Amino acid sequence: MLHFASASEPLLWLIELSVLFSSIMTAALIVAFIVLRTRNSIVRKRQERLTGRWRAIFKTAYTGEAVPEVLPRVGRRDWFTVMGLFSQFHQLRDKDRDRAREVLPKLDRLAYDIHLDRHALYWLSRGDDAEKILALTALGQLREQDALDDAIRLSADEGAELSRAAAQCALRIDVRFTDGVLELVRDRDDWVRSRVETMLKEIDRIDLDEALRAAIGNADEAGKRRLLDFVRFCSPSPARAVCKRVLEESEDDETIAAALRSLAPLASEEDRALALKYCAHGSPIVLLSALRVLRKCVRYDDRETLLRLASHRDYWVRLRAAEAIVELYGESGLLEDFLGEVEDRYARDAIVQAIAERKMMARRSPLRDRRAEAQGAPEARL
Amino acid sequence: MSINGHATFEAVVVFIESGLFLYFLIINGYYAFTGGVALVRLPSFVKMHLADPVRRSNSTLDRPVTMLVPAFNEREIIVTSVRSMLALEYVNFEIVVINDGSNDDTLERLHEAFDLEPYEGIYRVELPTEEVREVYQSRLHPELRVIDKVNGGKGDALNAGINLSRYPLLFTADADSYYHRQTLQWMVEPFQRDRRTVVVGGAVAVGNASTPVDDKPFEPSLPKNLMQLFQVLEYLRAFLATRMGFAPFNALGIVSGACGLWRRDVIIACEGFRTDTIWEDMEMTLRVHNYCINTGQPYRIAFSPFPVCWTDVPASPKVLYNQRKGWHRHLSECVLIHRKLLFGHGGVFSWVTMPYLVFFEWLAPVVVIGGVLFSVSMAALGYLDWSTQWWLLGLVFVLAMFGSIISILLDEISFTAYRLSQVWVLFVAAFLENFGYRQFVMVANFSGLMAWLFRRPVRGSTKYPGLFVAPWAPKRRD
Repeated sequence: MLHFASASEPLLWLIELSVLFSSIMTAALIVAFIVLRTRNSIVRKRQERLTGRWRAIFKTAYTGEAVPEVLPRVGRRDWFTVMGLFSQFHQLRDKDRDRAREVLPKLDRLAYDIHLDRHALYWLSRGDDAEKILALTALGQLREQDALDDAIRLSADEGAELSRAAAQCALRIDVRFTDGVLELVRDRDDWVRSRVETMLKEIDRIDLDEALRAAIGNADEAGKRRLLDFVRFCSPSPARAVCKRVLEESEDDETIAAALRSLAPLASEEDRALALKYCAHGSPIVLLSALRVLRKCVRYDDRETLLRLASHRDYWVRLRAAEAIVELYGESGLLEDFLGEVEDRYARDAIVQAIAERKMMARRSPLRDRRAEAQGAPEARL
Repeated sequence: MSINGHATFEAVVVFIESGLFLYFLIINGYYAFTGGVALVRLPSFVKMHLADPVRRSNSTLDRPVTMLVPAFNEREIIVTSVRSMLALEYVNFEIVVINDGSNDDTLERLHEAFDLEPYEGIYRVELPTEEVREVYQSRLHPELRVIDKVNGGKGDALNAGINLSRYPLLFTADADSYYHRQTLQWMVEPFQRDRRTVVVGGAVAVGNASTPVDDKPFEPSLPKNLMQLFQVLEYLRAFLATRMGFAPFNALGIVSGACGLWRRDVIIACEGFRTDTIWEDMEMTLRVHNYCINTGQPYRIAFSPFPVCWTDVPASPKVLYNQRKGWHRHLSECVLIHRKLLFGHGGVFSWVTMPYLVFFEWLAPVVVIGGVLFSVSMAALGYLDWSTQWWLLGLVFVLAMFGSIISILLDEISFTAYRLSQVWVLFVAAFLENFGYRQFVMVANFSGLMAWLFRRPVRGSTKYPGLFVAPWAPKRRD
C-alpha cells in the first residue's frame, strides 16, 4: 500500500513512472532502430551482390552466354529476392510467345537446378501472404503440377491479392481451371480488373469464349456486369453473341448498359436496330451505352434520334449524342451547316464540345501506353 | 491565506496539473496507437508490394484520371512541375492547370512552354466559380488544358478545374510539388480493390533539397535549413505514423490537397470545394465523411503510404508562421462547420478522429499555452511544485522524442527514403525541435485560432466562417 505525504505526491509519482516508462520505450525504439538499420545495411549490401549475381545468371537465358557450372547455393533468406528475380525475368518474355519458346525452358531449367520449385512449394504451406504470392507466381510460370491443389485451395482465400495470384497460378498450370477462374472473377469484387485482364489474356481465346459464355449464363446481375467487362478478350463473334444474349435476358438497367458497352467496340451495321431500340430507353446509363453502339454504325437516317438525345437533360447523354453526330458528318464540312440549324442551345453546346474533343483526340496517339516509353524494350530492362 | 484556503488552493493546483498530465498521456496514447498500427501494417504492406511483380496498373479498364493543378504566382516552378506530371506513367489521364489570377507571368510561361491555343469546347458550369477568362489547350500535349480565371482562392480554382474535367477520378495536385512516376498507378489501386472507395490520400514528403530535372525521377535528400529539417520530421510523423494508423479504421481526418484522388461524382454531390474557408483539403475530407455518413452511403477513405509526392516547405520563420496560422485557422473552420460529426453516428471517425481533431489538435494551443501561463502564475505566487514541473517537462520532452523516433523507424522499415547519414541528422533534429521549434509552431497555431475567433481579414477579405457558421449537412434529394 502506498502512502503519500501530500496531494501532489501521487501525481508526481505517476509522472515519474510515466517518464520512466516512456524513456524506456524511447530508448528501446532507438536500440530497435540501430539494430534494424545495421541489419538493413548488411542485408542491402548482400542483396545488391545477390541481385547482381542472379541477374547475371538469369540473363544467360536471354543472351545465350554460358551458365556457371556450379550455381551458387541460395540461402534461406535469399529466396525472396531470387524468386522475385526469376518471376521478373519470366515476365519479360510472357508476351513474346515466339521468343518465349526459346528462352523460358532455359530459365525454368535454372530454377529447377537451384530447387526453386521446392522452396516455392514449401512457402505455399508455411509462408506469409507475400511469400505465397511470390511462390504462386513462380510456380505458375514453371507450370508446376504439384502446386495445382494448393493453388486451387488458395484461390478461395479471403485476401484479394493472394486469391488472384493463386487463381492465375492454377490457370497457368491447368487451363481446365478457366471455368473456376471465371467463377471467381464473377464473385470477387475486390480483384483489380487490370490484373484480371492480364490473367485472361493468357487464356486461349477459344477456351475463353466458351467459358465466359457459360459463366455469364450462370451469373446473377452483378456477376454478369463484372464478367461483361472482360468480353473484349473473347473472339468478336462469340463476344457479340454473349452481349446480345444478356440484352435479351436482362431487364436491369446497369446490366443492359454493361452489355451495350461491351458490344460497342464490336458493333457493326447489323447492331443498328438494337442500338436504336435502346436509344429510346428511359435510363441515362443505358442511353450512354446505346449511343456508343450507335456511333459505330450511325446513318444519316438516325439524325433525328441523335438530335433528340443531344437535347437530353443529362449532360453526358447530350455529349455522347453529339459525338455520334460529329462521327456521322465526319470531315464532310456539312457539320457547320447542320450546327446552324440546331435550335436547342444545349444540343448546340454539346456538338461544339464534341467537335473540340474530336480535334483534341485526333492529336493523341490512340491508347498511348505511357509506360512503354520509359520501360523500353524488355532487353533494356535486363 | 488560512490553512484551509491554502490547502484548497493547493488541491486546485494539483487538479490542474493532473489534468495537464492526463491530457499529455491521452494525446500521446493516440500517437503511440497510430504509430503502433503503422508499425504492424507497413512491413507487410511493403513486402506484399515487393512480392507482386505484375505492373500495378496497365489496362484501359482502369478508370481515367483528371489532374487538377491550381497555380497562383508559380512562375518559377510551373513549367517543370507540369512537365513532371506529363511524364507520369498511367494509361489515360489529362491535366487541367488553373491559373488562379496570378499577378506574375505564370500563364505566359505556360503559353511558351506548351504552345497553348484557345480551347474550342464549351466550359460547362457545374460548380459556380469566379469568372473564367479563357480556356486553353496545348498543341504539344493534347491532354493538357489551362484555365485562366479571376482569383478566387484554391477551392475556387479546383472547382473551375472540376467543371472542365472529363474523367471520373480527380487528382488534386500542387503546382509546387513533384510526383513519382507511378503516383497514379498506386493511388488508383484502392479504387479498384474496393468499390466503396471515394477518396485516396497519398503520402507527401519534403522535397526542398532536390531540384527536379524536367521529367526525370525525383531523388530526395534532406534540406540543410534547420527549420525545413524539422518539417521533414513533422511530415514523417503526420503521414507515416498518424495517417497510416487512422486509415485502416476509415478514420482519416485529412487528405492532403497536394496528393489526393477523389471521386468526381462525390465531390459534385458535396457541392464542390468550399471557397469561403482559408484552405480546402481538410474541409472537403470532413465533408465527404459528413456526406457519406448522413446519406448512409457505404464508403471508404483510403491512404496510400508510398511516398509519391515531394513538396516544398517554408524556409523562413515568417512564411512558416503564416502557413501554420492558416492551417490552424482552417482546422478551426472545419471543426465548427462539421461539429455535428463529433460523437455522432459516424463510428470510429466520430468517436476517435473527431475528438482527436477537436481536443488534441484544435484546442492544443489553448491547453499548452494555458498550461505555461498557469505554471508561470503559480511560480510567481510561490505555489509551484518545481519537482512536479520538471518531471512534467521531462515527460513532454520524452514523449515528443518518442513520436519522432517512431516515425524515423517507420521510414526505415518501409521505404528507407533517407540514407544513414541523413537519418542521424534527423535524430539530432528530433532532439533539437523541442527547444524552440515546437513552441514556435504552437504560438502560430494559437495565433491562427485567435485570427479565426476574431475573424481577422485575410488578404483584405472577411468572408471566412467564424464561430457562428452553420453546420454543413448534405442537401436532401427527392
